Amino acid sequence: MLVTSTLNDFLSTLIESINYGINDAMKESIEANSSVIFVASRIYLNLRCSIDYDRDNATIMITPSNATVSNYYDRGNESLIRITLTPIMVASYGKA
Amino acid sequence: MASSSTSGSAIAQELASAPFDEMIKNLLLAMVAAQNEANAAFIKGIEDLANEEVKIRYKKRTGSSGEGTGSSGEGSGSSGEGSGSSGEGSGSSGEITISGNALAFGILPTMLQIQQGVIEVKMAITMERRTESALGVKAKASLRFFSVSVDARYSNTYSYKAEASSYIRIQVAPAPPPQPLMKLIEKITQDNPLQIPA
Repeated sequence: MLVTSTLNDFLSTLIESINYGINDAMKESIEANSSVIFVASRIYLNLRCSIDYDRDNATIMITPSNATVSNYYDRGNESLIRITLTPIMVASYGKA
Repeated sequence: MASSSTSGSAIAQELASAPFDEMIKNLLLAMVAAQNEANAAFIKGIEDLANEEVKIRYKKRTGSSGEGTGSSGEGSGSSGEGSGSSGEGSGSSGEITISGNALAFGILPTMLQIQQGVIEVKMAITMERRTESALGVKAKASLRFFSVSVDARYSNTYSYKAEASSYIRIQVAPAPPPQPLMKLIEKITQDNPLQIPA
């Protein structure tokens, strides 16, 4: 089954997933009393996908590229979303 | 188009193998594990060098007269300063042995720290929509991402071109643990001081 999502949901879920991943990694490093932790100073994402406009709901829909989408629906390779994420520590919010 | 449902479900299985957040977490933890292994290897290196006995023998020329020097002293063992066994009265030279462990000779293991790392993974992303419903609450659909790395097996099995894949590049840098944890580590160190014999 082809699963598509609105661009808004897609991006917010993506950022949420990355946040979970980074936080869990930090938590586990701390729990393991590691002498050093590794922080992701920058994350670049190049997402191959199909982007369509859903006229009924007046929203942008996205279908990320993968084998199922490519082989069974012949889609997923037309568009590219480039995202660069930089983690900001909570204590640094609002500071220049 | 799909010819059978089996191959379709096989792809679904493959894609469902790694939640996206797990992938990111495991990539970062792999760096931590690698650094910890390097630290452990450094400590093991100290132990190995401490147990590595080194002996250096050389002949000391005492002059051109050809007179024997006789015994010049006994080896002092681990300090590395011993003058060693004597010459055998050969007249012009005596054999000297300097012994000690490798550390005493100034051979130290190398401490390596990952200063910066870049992890780049070609991957394919798939989404799963999960509907959570509760009594009296409107059903809420939530998305979940799964990722699979696009390698030769994936590419060949599903005739999926690597150029069509997405990629993630994570720049990582080491950071000291948070301040409260550093204080805890210092406390543990103070409570367990090094036992150095006199």
